[in-house]
Amino acid sequence: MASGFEVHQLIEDGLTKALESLDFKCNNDQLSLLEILLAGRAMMEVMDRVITPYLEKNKDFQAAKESLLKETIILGTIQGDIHDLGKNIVAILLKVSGYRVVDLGKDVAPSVFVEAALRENAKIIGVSSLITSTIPHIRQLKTELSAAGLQDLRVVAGGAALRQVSPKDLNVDLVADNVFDLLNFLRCFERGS
Amino acid sequence: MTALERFLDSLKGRLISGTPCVPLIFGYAAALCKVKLSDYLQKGELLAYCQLEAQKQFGTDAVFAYADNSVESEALGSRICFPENDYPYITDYAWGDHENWTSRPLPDAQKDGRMPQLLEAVKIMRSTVGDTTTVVGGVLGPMSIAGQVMGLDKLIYLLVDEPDKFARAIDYTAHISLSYGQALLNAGAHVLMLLEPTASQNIIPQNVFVQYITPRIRYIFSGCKSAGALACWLVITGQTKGLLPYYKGCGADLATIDYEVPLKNALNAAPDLSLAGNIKPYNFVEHSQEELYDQAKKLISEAGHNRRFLLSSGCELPLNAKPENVEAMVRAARGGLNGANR
Repeated sequence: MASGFEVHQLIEDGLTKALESLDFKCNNDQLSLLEILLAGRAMMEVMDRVITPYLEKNKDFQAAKESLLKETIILGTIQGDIHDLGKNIVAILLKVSGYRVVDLGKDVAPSVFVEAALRENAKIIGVSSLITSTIPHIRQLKTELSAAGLQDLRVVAGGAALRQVSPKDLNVDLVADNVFDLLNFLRCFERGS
Repeated sequence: MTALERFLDSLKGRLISGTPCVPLIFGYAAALCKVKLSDYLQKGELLAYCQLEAQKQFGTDAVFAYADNSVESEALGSRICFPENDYPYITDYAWGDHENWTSRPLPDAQKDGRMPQLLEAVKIMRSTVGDTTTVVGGVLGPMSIAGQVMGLDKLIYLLVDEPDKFARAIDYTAHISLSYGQALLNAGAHVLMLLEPTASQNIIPQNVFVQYITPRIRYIFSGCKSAGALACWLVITGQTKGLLPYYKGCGADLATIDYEVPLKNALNAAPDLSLAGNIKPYNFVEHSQEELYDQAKKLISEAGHNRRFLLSSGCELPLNAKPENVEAMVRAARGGLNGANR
């Protein structure tokens, strides 16, 4: 920034590009949770130590912050599951990629996802689970969204157990193999494809 | 031929009729017997009863003295919450502050947490089946126990930031795996199963597995064989294709492969190792018995005349698996390559 780069350039050309460079490795099963955790931690440090302090000093902090944010994503671990490590990493990587994340935590009922989507004017829900017994709750999400008039809202599922199930069987738009799958989906969504 | 003979002969590569069938039936046995999972997981007598009933119903080749992945952590002092019909979860990690672990005494399997209940379950199952059916005692591996006493994210950061401290932590938890495993064997288990889900390539890279995990597994399996284990069974779920070549060197006689590793790849990666796998667990819920039968037959066919293959699920059966699907799997196994109808 001392060299004259804008904050959005640091995020887009620095953090996001660095994150995207991991995409290939991850899609070839060469990236483990350990490496993704470290990537997330490194990126959060850049955010916390460099970018956020800069924005806070900036007079137009709020405006700058808002202008940098992309879509709002509602995230949560579905009802019946308390595993949240994977979801937390996804939240970190979405934030450093410029998305506004509303993290509902763990053991979240489908109706709570719907209420949050309405309240936050979100277009995408990310739902996570590590166990198969929660699948009926995930299937319920789209039904409840439709009942609330949010039939166009996209639902992306992720987590170890869910990779066994097809999007159709799970009644979601995508079962993401990893966080990069989700990021690619979001990029396509933003382009309208 | 008894189920135990079938199991052990298969590990030795001897010719047997049909294929051994060992789906990972853990808490599913409680659902099958319509008892609360929380009771099953806390009462050894009930666990043994349900396991024996499940084995009687399906005619599978093993019963399992394994509750869930918080048994060792609970014995170390973690607080556990037991939902009525779901697996327990940890509310307070024993090593939350991750200091002074190694100064604490190892858990005593005869009195700490639910370990005595699991020992009781082994005794009941062994006295009931004798040497006719394989009695498997299950313990968690060192990396997984460490993750369950401090939280997986903290453990991973410890590995990167303070590798010596990480090594000391998993040395300590390896002693727990061994001492609890030996107690299960002394109580009557024929086979020691080591479950190490957090050592999969989904969690750690191959080089970390080789450097840190393989020596500890070798230590545990060696100690369990000295304690009389007829075989040591390694279960690492998820992606393991880069780890399989190292299993034999760990002392494993048998390894479970999850559905993420195609059987043919696994057979090539570990040609001298007996393999159990690898039907997708969720297929037992969603698919028809005809589909399950066909999936089982396909695996048996892929194994071909490899005598070291045991038909199993890639991970434990879901609590809501359809019993007719397990029956279809067993029918496929009993028919071997050609016989038996759907």
